[in-house]
Amino acid sequence: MKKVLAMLLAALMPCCTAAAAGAEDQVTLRFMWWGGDARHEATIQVIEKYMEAHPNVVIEPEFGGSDGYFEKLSTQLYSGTAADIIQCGTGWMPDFMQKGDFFVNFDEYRDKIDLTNFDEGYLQNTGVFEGKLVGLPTGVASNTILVNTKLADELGLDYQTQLTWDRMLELGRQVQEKDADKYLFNTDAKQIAYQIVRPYIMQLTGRPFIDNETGARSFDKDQLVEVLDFVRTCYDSKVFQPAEESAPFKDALNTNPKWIAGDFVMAHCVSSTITPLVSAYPDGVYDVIQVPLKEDRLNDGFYPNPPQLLVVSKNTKNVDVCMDFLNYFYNDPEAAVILRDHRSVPAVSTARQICVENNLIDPIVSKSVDISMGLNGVNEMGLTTNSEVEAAILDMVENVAYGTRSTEEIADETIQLLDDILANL
Amino acid sequence: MKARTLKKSLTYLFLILFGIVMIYPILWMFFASFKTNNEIFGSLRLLPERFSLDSYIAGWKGSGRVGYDKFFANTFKLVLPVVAFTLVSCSIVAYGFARFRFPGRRPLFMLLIATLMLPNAVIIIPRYTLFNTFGWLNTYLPFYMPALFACYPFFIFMLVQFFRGVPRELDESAYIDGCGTFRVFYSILLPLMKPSLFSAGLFQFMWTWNDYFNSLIFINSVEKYPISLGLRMSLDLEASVAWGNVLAMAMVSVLPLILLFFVAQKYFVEGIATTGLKG
Repeated sequence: MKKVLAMLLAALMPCCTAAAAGAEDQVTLRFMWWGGDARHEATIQVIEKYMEAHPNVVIEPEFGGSDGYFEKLSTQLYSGTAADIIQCGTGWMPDFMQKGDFFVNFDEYRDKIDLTNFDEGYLQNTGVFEGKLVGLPTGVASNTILVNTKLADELGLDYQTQLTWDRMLELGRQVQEKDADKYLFNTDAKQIAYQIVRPYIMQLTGRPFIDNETGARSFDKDQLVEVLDFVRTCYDSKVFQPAEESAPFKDALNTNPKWIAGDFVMAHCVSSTITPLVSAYPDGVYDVIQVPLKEDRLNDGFYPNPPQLLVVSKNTKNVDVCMDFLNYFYNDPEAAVILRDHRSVPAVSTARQICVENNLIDPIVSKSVDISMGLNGVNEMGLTTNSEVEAAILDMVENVAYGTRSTEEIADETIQLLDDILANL
Repeated sequence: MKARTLKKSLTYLFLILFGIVMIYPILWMFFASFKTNNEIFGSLRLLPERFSLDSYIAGWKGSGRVGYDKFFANTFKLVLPVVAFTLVSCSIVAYGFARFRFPGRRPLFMLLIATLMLPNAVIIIPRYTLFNTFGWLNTYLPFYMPALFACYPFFIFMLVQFFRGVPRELDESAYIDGCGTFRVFYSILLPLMKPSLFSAGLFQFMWTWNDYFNSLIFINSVEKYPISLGLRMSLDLEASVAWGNVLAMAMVSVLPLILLFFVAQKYFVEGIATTGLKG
């Protein structure tokens, strides 16, 4: 309690001085984000606290679900009506940056906003696009594997040994031998693309799926076939639930009835989707483990990345106030307590520390981030996350999952399609 | 005689089964609104383990400080004027096309019908740019104005068809009695058109009520959100969604539509059945 009080006091002091300095003009800002109920509530609270300390500033929250957010944001950016402060998906940034100069470069405002508590390497790796620091990561998240250890122990699985791709198959077969109704992995096409196809290729080639530097795919046909064969074997030997059964629950693995009944040992997820998965089957006991690593890999293929970025629109009339608010949002201890892990584990070290000290972060979520911090994959944001490329990868995975054609044919088609897309970019 | 009873009972059996199939989703939604997440996804039973109004009470509070009382008020503020404006403007335009010969009538009517084929996705961007220049974003004007200027070719077409079914002799006798063109429209034709006006109004009410994309694009402030946006506000892939609350509010939000349909059912069916019928 004392600690919280002390923090509150510490938080109030700089605010008061700032308020006195800028109390002249009435300023209205718009802040747009997507999320669920908890994130909405926390963000509004932070906005209210900031407005209390700065009576001349009004921040209008504009929030909603994730459905249609990208379409809305695109429309607004292209017509110059976007909010002043915007929550933005990381994968969208390369597209936006290519089409126009929409965002403020934070490097020019380092005197207004304190960025020293970010890990500089992480900031450079995730927030810089086309040489400009346009986005501030809201948190750290990573691809991870959630294990229901209760079921794993019941089935006698050794899940602690570092996974390799082969070991994944081995474990999957063990599960099927013990109980044909249970599967090792709860997954979908998107997770397979993110957690198998892209990292597997990166482990083979040392470069992202589509290399931003060369503007071409980093792999040859044999390598792609190797990966696709692996995915097909996973389906054939029932490491994954058959695609026909799992298809209705894609993008929402926590709604798969088999997961709710506790029939999956593991689930592909990112740090921010651990909580929905855990709360969908609360009877399980959970842990996270290291993602699969090939023995002779060029790099790990996985890396920590932000779930979203906050950006400031170039059209804003009050850049300074935006920076001051973001400074409060990221660095203030009071804000950190309110925001906790609603946008994944905080990217700012001081905020993360406060959350850990006050038990505000789920230990499993925190662990998933800690594990990923040691992984040295190359950031893929760019051509790999281009919407057309992403759609091509998803189609490929689904074709493999449903077994429509031989993996050779699918690889040929996909390579042709990707080369066409890249030629037109 | 026996064969007839058998045939009749078979027909009824088929109708009942078909009715159940049609009503089942709503029934499911109603019962699911009392369930917990685990029950919704984990069990196939229709009936919930227990009935309580908790999710209705929790859901009504909405999320992020704005509750459903606000969303409902907003929706009515949006939908009712749109319906009224559409009926007034579209019936006047339809009257013009159906009863008057003027230069360029046919090409204009063809143009109007051609716009019927334009999908919303195509016109949304020019519309957005236009409304942005007018400074109408984040207000309900992008909904009111098209309704006021008869931008709904479907309804115009529907009403024109209906006008054609009303004998011209009625107009002529009114002219002989000294009515002007507007008086003929107002006192003679409008009362006859009641069924088709009702069905046009009902359609427009339903479509505007359910419309998600336009409200999403044009409305920014949560304070101005209609229900369709409010319902999806807590749906996020990264958050655990209290589906019971969402379904409870979805149930409440379709109630006005269901009620309206039953109350105006007579006109609705009549309207559809008589449009396009030549008398």
